[in-house]
Amino acid sequence: MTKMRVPVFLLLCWGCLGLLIYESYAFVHRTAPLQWFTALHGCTALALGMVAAYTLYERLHQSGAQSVVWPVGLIVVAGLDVGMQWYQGSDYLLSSLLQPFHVLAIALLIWRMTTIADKPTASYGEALLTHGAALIGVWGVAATWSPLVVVYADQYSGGDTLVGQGVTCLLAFVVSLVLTARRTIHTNVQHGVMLGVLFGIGVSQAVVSDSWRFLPLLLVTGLCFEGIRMWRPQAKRLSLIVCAAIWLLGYFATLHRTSIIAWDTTTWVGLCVLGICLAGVLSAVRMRPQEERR
Amino acid sequence: MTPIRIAQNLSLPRRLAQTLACPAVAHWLLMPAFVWFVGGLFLDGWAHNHGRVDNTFFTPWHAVFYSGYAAVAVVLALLVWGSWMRGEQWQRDLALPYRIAILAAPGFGMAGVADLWWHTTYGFESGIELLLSPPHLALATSMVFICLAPARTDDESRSMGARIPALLSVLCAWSIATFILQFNHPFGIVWPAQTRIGETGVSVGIVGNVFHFALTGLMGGWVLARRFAPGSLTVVLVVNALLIALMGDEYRFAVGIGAAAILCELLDVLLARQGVTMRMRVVVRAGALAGLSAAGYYAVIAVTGVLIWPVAVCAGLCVLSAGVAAATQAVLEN
Repeated sequence: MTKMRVPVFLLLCWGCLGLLIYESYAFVHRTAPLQWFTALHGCTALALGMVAAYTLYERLHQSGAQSVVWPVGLIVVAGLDVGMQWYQGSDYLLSSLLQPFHVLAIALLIWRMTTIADKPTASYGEALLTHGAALIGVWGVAATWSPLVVVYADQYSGGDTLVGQGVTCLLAFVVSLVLTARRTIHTNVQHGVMLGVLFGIGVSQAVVSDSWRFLPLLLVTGLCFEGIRMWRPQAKRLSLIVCAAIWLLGYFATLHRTSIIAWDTTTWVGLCVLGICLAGVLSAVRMRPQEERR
Repeated sequence: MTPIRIAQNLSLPRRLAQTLACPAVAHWLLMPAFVWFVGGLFLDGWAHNHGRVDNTFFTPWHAVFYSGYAAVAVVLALLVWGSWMRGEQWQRDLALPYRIAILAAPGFGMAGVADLWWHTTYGFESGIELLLSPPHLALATSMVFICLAPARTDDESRSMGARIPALLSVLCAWSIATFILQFNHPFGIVWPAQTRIGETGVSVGIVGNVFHFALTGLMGGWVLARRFAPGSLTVVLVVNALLIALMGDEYRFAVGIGAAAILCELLDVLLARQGVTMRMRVVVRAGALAGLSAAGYYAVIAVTGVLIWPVAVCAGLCVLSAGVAAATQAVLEN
């Protein structure tokens, strides 16, 4: 992609992501009418189509004829998504959100954004989109399960089912956080990107949930992570484990300060230990085949 | 691998110490001890899930579990003794995963004492509190470190037969992880057969399903990256499914996961013949295994009972699990 066109593309991507998050807001708050062809859906579909069309245009005009599979694939899948939703009727429930073509369209879009500039020389805006799109986009769309939007720890106790749900959601969030941080370390991206990503997810989740109480925690987590990266660039594992520990302990500290922790102490302490262990495993594991590792 | 030559004029203890220097000997010695140890864990879990325990620490199930630990500890102590007899220092001369396992063994013992104190002081938890209590997590973490030692010291150039202990090591570690995460395991609570769409239980089930199937996909990718023999993944997943089934008596899901694993192994053979790079194959296997194991799970429910969730949701979850596993796998390659 030519340098001149990058800002336009970035703008389109961010716009698309923003609209997806706003859709999530409508989903969580049930503020949108229960039809598929609403103005909101129209805007999102338009933005999505523009991203695909723009990429297609770029690729068709590039010398060397790069792959057009992604933009064409996205357009086809998005078309199938609209057709399927129209056929089934949107009920603004999980069956609409988890319709396979819908999942695939969003996944393709987010995947495209996360592969924009996977290199240390990328500009801050490019790096922010590359590293933040997955975290912000996935949790934006899956807000129903986000621990920053639906807080299970101050509502449910005793019943294994909903506590188990909350624990799994928190673990999933920690895993996504650690994986994002790990990727920023391994691609040696410039300082401040992870902080920007955490600010981005904090704001987007606050918009969806109407609650800004977790934003300071995310900023503190980002600052600590960036601090360790600057102070000890070699301490990669430590920075990831500390990032997970601060976030998990800070999450329950925030709940304790702003409302209550309804869970048994054993559960939330155990969850923090489990989350930190998981971060340790994720920071250490290498999936490459042995000969490549050598 | 060069066979170790043992001089015939050495005394018996010294000859034994020389024999223990061979990594394969340690691997094979640990195998039955691991079966005992991890078998004891699942036996205890079965007893808890079937109301076969009372409020005492000294149960027959704990006896099996902790005697399994003693067997593992004896083998690890033998390794330390062998190292000492050869005039080496185990802290320096043994492979790092074994050094960690040797340190984890007393760690497990201390966690066991802490567990006894915890139960005496705070009583006996049930459900999720039981799984997430700090002493139990410490026990599980030590167990994983101990059981992973043969897999982490495994040499991919060895014959398939010589790598059986490493495969068992993977099975043990994976089984311990799924045991601790059973509070939302799809084989334990079958949400797609119990809840209607729109209810809270559906969103509960969705998280558990995606989390576990994506994790299964990642494990499949890891097994492929370690170049285990074809069929290894199927064995690990089916045995693990049967062990988890002990908790809720849901043995039918072993068929679904087995079918998914076989399909993935066939897909991988096909990709290898096409000359696809190992990196790409690992990502594809992770995604395919996650998606197919989810599909196998819903298919088993539909065939053997009633699948209440809409087909669109089930299909969407297969795609979602596959996407999450493949993306995570790609990130973890670096």
